[in-house]
Amino acid sequence: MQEYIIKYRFWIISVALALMLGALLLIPKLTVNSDVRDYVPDSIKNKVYLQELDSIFGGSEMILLMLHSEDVVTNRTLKRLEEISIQLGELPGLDRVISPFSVQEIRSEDGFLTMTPFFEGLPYEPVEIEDLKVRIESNIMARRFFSEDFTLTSLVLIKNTSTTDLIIDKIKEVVSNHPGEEEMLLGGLPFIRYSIEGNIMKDLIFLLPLAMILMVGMLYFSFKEWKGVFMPFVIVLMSIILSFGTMSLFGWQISLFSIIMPIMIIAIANDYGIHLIAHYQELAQTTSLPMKSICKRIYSDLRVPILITGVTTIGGILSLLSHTMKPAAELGVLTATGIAFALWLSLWFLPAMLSYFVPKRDEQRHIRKRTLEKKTSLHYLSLWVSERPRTITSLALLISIISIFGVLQLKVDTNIENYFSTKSEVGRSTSLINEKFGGSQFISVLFTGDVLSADVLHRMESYEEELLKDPAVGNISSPVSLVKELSKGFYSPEEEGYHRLPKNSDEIYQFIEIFSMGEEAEDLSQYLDYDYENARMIISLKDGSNSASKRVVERLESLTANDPNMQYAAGASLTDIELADVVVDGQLKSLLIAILIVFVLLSFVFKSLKGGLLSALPISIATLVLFGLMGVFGIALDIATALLSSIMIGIGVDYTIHFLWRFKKERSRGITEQEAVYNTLTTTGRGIIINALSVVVGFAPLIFSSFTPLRFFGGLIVISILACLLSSLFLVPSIILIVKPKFLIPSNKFTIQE
Amino acid sequence: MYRVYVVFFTFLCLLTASSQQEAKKEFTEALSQLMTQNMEMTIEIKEWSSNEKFKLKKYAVLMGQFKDVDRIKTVIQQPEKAKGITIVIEKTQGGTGIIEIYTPANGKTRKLKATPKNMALVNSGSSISNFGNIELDNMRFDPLERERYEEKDCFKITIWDKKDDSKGKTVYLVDQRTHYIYLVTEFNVDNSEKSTTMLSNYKKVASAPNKIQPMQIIHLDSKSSKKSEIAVLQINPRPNLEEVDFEVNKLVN
Repeated sequence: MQEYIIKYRFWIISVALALMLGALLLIPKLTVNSDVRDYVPDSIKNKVYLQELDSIFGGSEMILLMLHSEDVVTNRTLKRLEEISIQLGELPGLDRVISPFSVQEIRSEDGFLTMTPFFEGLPYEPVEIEDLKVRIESNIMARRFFSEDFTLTSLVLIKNTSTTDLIIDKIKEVVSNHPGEEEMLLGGLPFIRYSIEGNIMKDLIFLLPLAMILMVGMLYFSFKEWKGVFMPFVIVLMSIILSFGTMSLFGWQISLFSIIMPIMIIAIANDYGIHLIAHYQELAQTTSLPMKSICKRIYSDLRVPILITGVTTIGGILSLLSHTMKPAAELGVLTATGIAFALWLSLWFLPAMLSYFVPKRDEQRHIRKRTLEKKTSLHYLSLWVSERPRTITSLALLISIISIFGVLQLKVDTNIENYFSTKSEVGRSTSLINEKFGGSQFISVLFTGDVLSADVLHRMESYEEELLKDPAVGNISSPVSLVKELSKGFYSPEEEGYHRLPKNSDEIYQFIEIFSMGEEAEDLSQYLDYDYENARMIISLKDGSNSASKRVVERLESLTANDPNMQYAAGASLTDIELADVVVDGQLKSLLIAILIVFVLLSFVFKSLKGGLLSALPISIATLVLFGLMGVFGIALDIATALLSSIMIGIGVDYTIHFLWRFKKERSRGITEQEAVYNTLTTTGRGIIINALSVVVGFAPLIFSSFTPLRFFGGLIVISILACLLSSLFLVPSIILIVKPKFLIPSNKFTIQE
Repeated sequence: MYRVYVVFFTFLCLLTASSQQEAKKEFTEALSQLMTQNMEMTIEIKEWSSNEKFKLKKYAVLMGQFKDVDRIKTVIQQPEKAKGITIVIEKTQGGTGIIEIYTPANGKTRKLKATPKNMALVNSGSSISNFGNIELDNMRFDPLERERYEEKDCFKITIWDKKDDSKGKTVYLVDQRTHYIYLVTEFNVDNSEKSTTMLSNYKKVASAPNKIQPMQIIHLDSKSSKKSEIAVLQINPRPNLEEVDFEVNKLVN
């Protein structure tokens, strides 16, 4: 084959470039999808429920606009808020603007039912301001627009689902038309999605070049030759282009997961080129072969280990196909495609390109050769490992046992709010909403049947009272709160029915019927459908974590177990819970499949089940260490960190393969196990270390991502790769020295080509 | 040359004023033949929400005028659970007054001070009463225009509320021959469409030979996409109405 590569080198280069150009033309068609709901499979019950609730009660996408200052109950702040709310009311795409200025004050006064706008004029004097604060505190409908300490006031903007999240730009424009000293903050899921979309592109634009620069630096530092930088760099670049082109070809969209894809290709795809360039440099320094012969030699020497490591990496990454979340499965396909292309480019395109250059030969190469043979640190490392196999094995066992305890502490949390740091705009507004507005996540509970009957509403009231005892619950609103508020207009404070749910169903119905004739009738649609067949209770959560949501839902389910009118509870936070189950399920499936792929492939390669087991051992221990550390440090398994283990297995197994391959070759020279371990660590060990460091350098930029899960992902992948590296350099040789497996005893097939 | 401009400008002003007067005259004629006072009627309202959900309501409405006070009494007949809810509006020429609401479920009557805002609250969905509420002296008319509507030659009459800047214009399409109002389009201040009302099936009111009544009114709210269809099931003149007829506990029919 090496003869053909050199003979047809022009055509190989042309085909590779044509493929890349074709992919490049497809890239402009790509679009971004930041809607985390789309990441969730349609089979998730909660997703179906939410769609049903939207069809019953209309669009329920809420954007919270907040003004923040030391005291918001001032003429200046309220005037600004009113002006903003009027202009936003005219903004196409917003269904409704619910503001404190649309609140009605219902009173019974001198026999008159008064229903007047809460704000009939804005306060000027300190006395008026203090009076207004007292009125706000006593009016349940007005109170929801102000924080208890009056440092925040808000508008609730209802967006229909057909309006894109880009309406946030228009909202910001409206606010900028009314400048003021108060800080403006936005919250709610549409704003979070908008921020995710912006940050995905920002991350891609910032992280991709950073990873590229680090890779170039790493390659130059390792090879001190521009050919050594140029070749792997071109391969990585072409692979990334091909992967994005494939994404466009399949009609897939750029998602949060897509940020990881080019970073993974940068980290992994240059590994094969690195081994080939390292071998080219070795041959250039140690022989006088012409470039074409060197190219043929590097191909024939390294094609098998490179092919095996490539196939195991692709297999490990393709295990993501079993993931229930579509973008994770897409990530698996696209990264595997990129790596397969990089593998082909490394084996054919790189020697074909390299053959056009002249080898760089150091005049002092004989001195250099001797230096290479005396890698002092590797020399000491090799001696230490070969002398202490039992100590190392015991230490690995101890670390594994400790890690198991950490794994037991591992939490799953897929709360979308945690994507952002607390210092970011989203993080700040989310924590303010949770702290001062009763929470930014909601659970809707659907009741059907005669929902305006006294019986149903009294039951709903009792559920509300019980649920409010949970510290995670902020506010609860439902037809109950509305009917109680309406009762204030029909009864005097001294009467029994004042601010109470009537016992008579017809009375409740008549309250609602009268309210429905008014201009504020739209407020009803949040809780009641048009023909009063369905009612909704909305529970806001101050704590959107999976555990808190789960606890509230379990309490609700136990309270409503025998309620024939209660249908289901749904909400974005419940999608998180189902998502968490999917994440764990996906994680376990991907992990088992990845380990199985590695085991089967390497059992086949080494023609031994023990060979498969030994190859899978370091990655299994590294997985334990990874999850153990996550458990100990309280890093939750989320949609990004759930991808870790399969990716780590795909990459980490390479080091063991390279080690075992070389060890077997060394043994074929008739030397002892100790000598073979020494020789392998001092030669291939260097390549393995460079390889692992290049992966670490490739993934490191993720630490600077705008998304918290991706930052953790970057940090954890570095830790897990280092764990794989240490296992391959210390544990694998130690086990070999203790067990002396038969599959590593040389056959005639292996001869050293020196 | 200056004189020519003055003469031309004066002529233009007179022409415009004359055209505005003409619009007011045609509109007054259209209103005058509608029965808006001293009558009783039963109306059926079919309402559709934006997601096509349907509600059926039936009201008995009594409308009377006593000197400068207008009174409207609406008794809900359907839905069954709301049956008997009675709303009485007493409105003076200035737009103020009192609203009384009687809820049979608790036997309570509550009074509200009528303001333009809460007048809408209890307007009982009766668009017919809206015509009776138009105070022509408070209206500004645009010059009369002409337009074809459903193969009929119509006047296009645009009026503005001089007292309320927050309201946009209202455009009426009035049949040039019969003076039947066929279409009413309300606009917001920014000139976006607020609502459309189509009036049809005009019939002469028995015992009131000069009066007519649209028996079907279709109203479409542009923002909420809500649609309501009002069918006048029965209409009778009540020339001898007394104030006692508008007490909340005295049911119509």
